Amino acid sequence: MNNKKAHIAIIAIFLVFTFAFSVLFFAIPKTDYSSTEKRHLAQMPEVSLENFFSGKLTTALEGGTQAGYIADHFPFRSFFVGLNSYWNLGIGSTASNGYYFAQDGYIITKPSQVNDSDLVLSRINQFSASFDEVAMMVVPSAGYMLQEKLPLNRVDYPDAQVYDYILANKAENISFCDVRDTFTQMHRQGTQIYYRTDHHWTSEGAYAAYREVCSVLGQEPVEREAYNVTTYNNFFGTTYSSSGYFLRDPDTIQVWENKALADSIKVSISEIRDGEEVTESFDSMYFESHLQEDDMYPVFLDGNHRLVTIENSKAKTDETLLLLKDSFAHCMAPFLAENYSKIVMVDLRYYAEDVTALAQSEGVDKVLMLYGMDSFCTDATSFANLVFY
Amino acid sequence: MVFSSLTFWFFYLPCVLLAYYAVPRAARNWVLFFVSLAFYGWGEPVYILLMLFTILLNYVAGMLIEKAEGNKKKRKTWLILSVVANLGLLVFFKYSGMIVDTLNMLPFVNIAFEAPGLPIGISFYTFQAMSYTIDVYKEDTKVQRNPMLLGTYVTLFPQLIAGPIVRYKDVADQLVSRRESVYQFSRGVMLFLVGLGKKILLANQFAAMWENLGGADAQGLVARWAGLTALSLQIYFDFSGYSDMARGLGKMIGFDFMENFNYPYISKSITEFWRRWHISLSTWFRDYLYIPLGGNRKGFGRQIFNLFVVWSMTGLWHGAAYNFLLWGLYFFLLLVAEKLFLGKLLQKAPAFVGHIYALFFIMIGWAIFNFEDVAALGEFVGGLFVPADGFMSQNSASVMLSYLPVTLAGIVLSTPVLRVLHSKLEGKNVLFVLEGIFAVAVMFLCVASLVSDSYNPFIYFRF
Repeated sequence: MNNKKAHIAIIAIFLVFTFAFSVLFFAIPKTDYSSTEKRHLAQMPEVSLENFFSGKLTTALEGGTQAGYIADHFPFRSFFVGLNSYWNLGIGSTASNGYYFAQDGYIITKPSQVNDSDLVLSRINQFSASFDEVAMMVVPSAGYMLQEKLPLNRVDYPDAQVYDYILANKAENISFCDVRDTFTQMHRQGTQIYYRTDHHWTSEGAYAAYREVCSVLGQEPVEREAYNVTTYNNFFGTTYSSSGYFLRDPDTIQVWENKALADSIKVSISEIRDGEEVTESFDSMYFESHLQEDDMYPVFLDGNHRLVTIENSKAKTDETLLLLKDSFAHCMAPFLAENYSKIVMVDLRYYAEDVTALAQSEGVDKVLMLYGMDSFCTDATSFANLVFY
Repeated sequence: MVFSSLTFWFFYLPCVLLAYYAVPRAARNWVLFFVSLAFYGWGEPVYILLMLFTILLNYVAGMLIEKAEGNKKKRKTWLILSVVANLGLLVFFKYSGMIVDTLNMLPFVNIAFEAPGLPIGISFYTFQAMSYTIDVYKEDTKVQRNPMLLGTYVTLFPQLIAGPIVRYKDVADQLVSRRESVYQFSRGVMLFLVGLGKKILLANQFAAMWENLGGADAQGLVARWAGLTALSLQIYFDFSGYSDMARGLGKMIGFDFMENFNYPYISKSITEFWRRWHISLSTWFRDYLYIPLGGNRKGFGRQIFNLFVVWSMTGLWHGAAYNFLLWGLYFFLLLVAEKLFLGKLLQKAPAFVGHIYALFFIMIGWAIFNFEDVAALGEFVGGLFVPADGFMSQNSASVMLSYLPVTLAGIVLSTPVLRVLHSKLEGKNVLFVLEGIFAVAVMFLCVASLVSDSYNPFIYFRF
């Protein structure tokens, strides 16, 4: 190889790469919305002298507290995000963005760093004093139940200590439902309790937990033979999209539907739009449009909403259940709907009103708190809503 | 704008290269002048005016000094006025907040004052501009009659905001008579990519490692040493990476700037360290402060005093806070000790003793550099020797293990291993193949990292 040619080749490699991406950036069509990230991508700022001199243009293009336009719309963005995750995996990091690259295709959330469980529990205790009986379940972390699938270099999960703390410090009228033994047994038998590509539990896991909850609530669980199980492929959930481990296979998601209830269900979803409460009603607990998306878990009750009520005219009892929950409850609530004529589901992250007053006006008979370990350990702010009214 | 950004790499740089090579040679400095102003103004456009003022100030000073030829007193007056004006601007924009805060600590003093924002790169370009006027005064260089050329020298975007501090006399000829070449451009590409890789693939990893270990709050003796190692590697790869990028970009437009870092962590003494670390700054202080003060020619006592002044200033140059002054004086003490007796002892001792000694004090130095709060510094440094809170937590062990490969790579790459390998392969075709592979890999990985910074899934958001 001629020496000068070699130098030209080096220059060419650099210039072709550089100019190719600058041209592609303008050439490829822009999308407004990133479905893996579930957010709107940055908008092109207005190019004006005023924006330039105020520094707004720079921030909007390059990003400041929010993502910048250029990085958000860079050509082959997901390829590069994936490359970065796998490169870091290759050079020793066993996690990406807080998710472990685990065996068997699992991507598992790292243990929560913050431990607010004492504050959260004291707020729950205080709130429970207004009720005769409260049932409570904290779903164990996927990483805690599936330890042998985790990479060797990892941090311990705090679940055992948190459970000990809850059992020792919970108010007396709280019946705590510990699902760990059941899950351990199911896991040994090879039942999949958590999704590989999402941080939630599977319908199998939720159903087993439902049976445990029923025993605490004094309800008769519906037998699994009653359900029609439909399996959907290509489920790319939250741990998949957040980690950037884009070469992992998708998981499947199961919808367990009791056909006997097909015409007796009414779901009301309340939203705040422009300061007004708007309630929409549906005749199913399953929102099948979400099965077309990467993240299919919102098929259950349409994902996170501040206030959702499920009414069942053919329920086994005519009782009303108040369900304080995070998204783990979404795939368990349909099971519970067969036992209660009305379930009032409140998501404290978005419901900024007096919950005790709501319980009174709804004539609540039972209360169930259902939270994932992560919310329970980190989200003291949301639980503050329980007591500061 | 910083070099390690998508904006610079994929938008600014292509425009600059196109404009630069599209125009005839005579217009190229004009291109550089305007694109450099745009580069500087990208973040804070207002300070373009300040920079233009600095250029004008030194241009006029140079002309006046030239005009007063033969009149020593007049020449000196103009020089002093220009130095005072240059330093006055620097002090006002960089140190006024610190000075007022200090005065306010005195009883009965209560000055209400809002410190101005720090114009980016002011410490670098003020020193560069001053070097021009002083060189004209010392008759080391000819006066520049074309204000645009002087402006191009001061604003030249590659070294504008983080050095190397190029002296006017070193680039005066290049400004007017440089000849770009394929060879120089390809070396520029490689240097730029080496620097980019150092910054993004190494320094950013070490920054994350320090952060993940808890930074100042790292728990346990071993974790603190690991954190300090990460910090030391981060500072080196960040700064030397930036200098490499600057030199590489300079080569792409026909300039050769001096090497700014020469494997400082392989030093066997602190004296050697400062000959290898941020060379352009040490050289500046030597030529424009230490030697004019008399250097070592006026007796030992005066030399110590001169060193004291130089190292106080070197410390403060790095930042307007007392820990930087402390950092400078810390090196002053070590350097004086080496001049007095330690240097001779180290020479007699086996090499590894010198290495351990130098690295130990360099690392403690970075702790001083990093902590503005003296109490926090004391606590951190104390924790390096007394395991009051144990050796490491499970979390920090896991972090250290995760970053072990990149730490080892960083340690190896802060020695001249690759340079030696490179010179062994010089002239062989396989070297170009390796360079090509390296270039492609670095470019993809750097873009991956830059794009990922924006990747931010909003899991809990309602939509």
